[in-house]
Amino acid sequence: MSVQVIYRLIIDDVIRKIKDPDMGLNLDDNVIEELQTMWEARLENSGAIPHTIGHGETSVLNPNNNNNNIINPNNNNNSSITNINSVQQYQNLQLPNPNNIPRPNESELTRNGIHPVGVRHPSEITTTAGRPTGFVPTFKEIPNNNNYYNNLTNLNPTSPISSASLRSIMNPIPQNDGVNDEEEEINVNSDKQDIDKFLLKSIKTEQNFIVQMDGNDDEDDEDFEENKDQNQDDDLLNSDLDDDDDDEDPDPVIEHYVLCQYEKVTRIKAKRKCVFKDGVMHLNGKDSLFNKANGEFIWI
Amino acid sequence: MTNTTPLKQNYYELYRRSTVGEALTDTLDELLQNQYINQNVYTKILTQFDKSINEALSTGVKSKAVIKGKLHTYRFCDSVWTFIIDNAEFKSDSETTRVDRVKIVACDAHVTETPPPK
Repeated sequence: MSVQVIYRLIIDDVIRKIKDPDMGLNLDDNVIEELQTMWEARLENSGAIPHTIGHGETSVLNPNNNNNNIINPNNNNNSSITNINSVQQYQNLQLPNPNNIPRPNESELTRNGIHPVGVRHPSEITTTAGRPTGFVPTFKEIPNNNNYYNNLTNLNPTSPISSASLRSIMNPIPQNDGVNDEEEEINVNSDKQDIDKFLLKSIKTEQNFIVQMDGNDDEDDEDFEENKDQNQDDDLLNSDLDDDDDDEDPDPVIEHYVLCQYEKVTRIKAKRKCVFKDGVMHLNGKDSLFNKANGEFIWI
Repeated sequence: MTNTTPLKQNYYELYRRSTVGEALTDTLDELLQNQYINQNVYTKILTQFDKSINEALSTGVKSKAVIKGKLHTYRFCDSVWTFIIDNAEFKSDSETTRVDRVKIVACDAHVTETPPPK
């Protein structure tokens, strides 16, 4: 039997069972009908099952069913949820994926561990509030420009060198309460400017430390001093300690998949032999099924 | 004698990740979100789907396939085999399909073998 027929059987079986009073679901007929309609519409929209050749309006899953809501968008049939009874309406109901919303120069900013302040992505509004931004100072990115703070009033998250980076050094508390206050930038007090100048000067001369102004030395500083010479030549962000690109995600998203059950998996030297059953394959965007499959995989 | 006991979790939920399973899950999510069904109904329908697709695959499908390729990754955890195969070739009765990389997730066929209802 073809994929369409099997899927038809599955859908019909599920619908029949949930209508069964013995299941005790007590669902309204309209809800069940709508469930079936939306399920079939989604399945057809996925494009995973072959389409019937030459049809214009017939349902792939149910070519003989002319009462199907999918092929008759004007069928209102007094359903309690008729606002979602067609493929087109269903598609219109899809909320925009927040991940698809373009973000200004996002890649460059996030690559440096910098999140643009004042321009909040919708998905971040709930996920990052009150959390540290995980900022890592990027000394190489800081410009050698004493007039740097003069440009802060024109703060632009899309600028190639983010002004947020230096500001974060001085004020590492992430701003999670909305857009920057311009007044705050304009009224930078003179003390802070002095510290900025000193810091920039330090960076210029590759003195990779920040003056401790909050009390006695910490023990960590001793280690830092010891390793300072070693680290001077190292690029902090691209040291050998960084993860290599070779480290792959153990669970990458793979377009093609097989879901099945195994009866036997054996290994002879570098070859694995498998016996699978009851498989659903999704290859090149199309679904296919098998009752039994033998697999031979060579480990190289 | 009618069986009025609730559905048992005797069938793998593995196939919920298939196209037909995801289409149902998305639909149920939407109905749940709009409060046309409750969580109990949601769970029961998905459980019924597990049962229906497991039975349909074991009794309705007759085709066989041969899968070959280079083993990129293998993992056996909690009785589930996961293989990632590079340059995989799928030969079925009627056609041959090649893909650059495929993920195979396989559960133990012997654990949940349940006798067909009747």
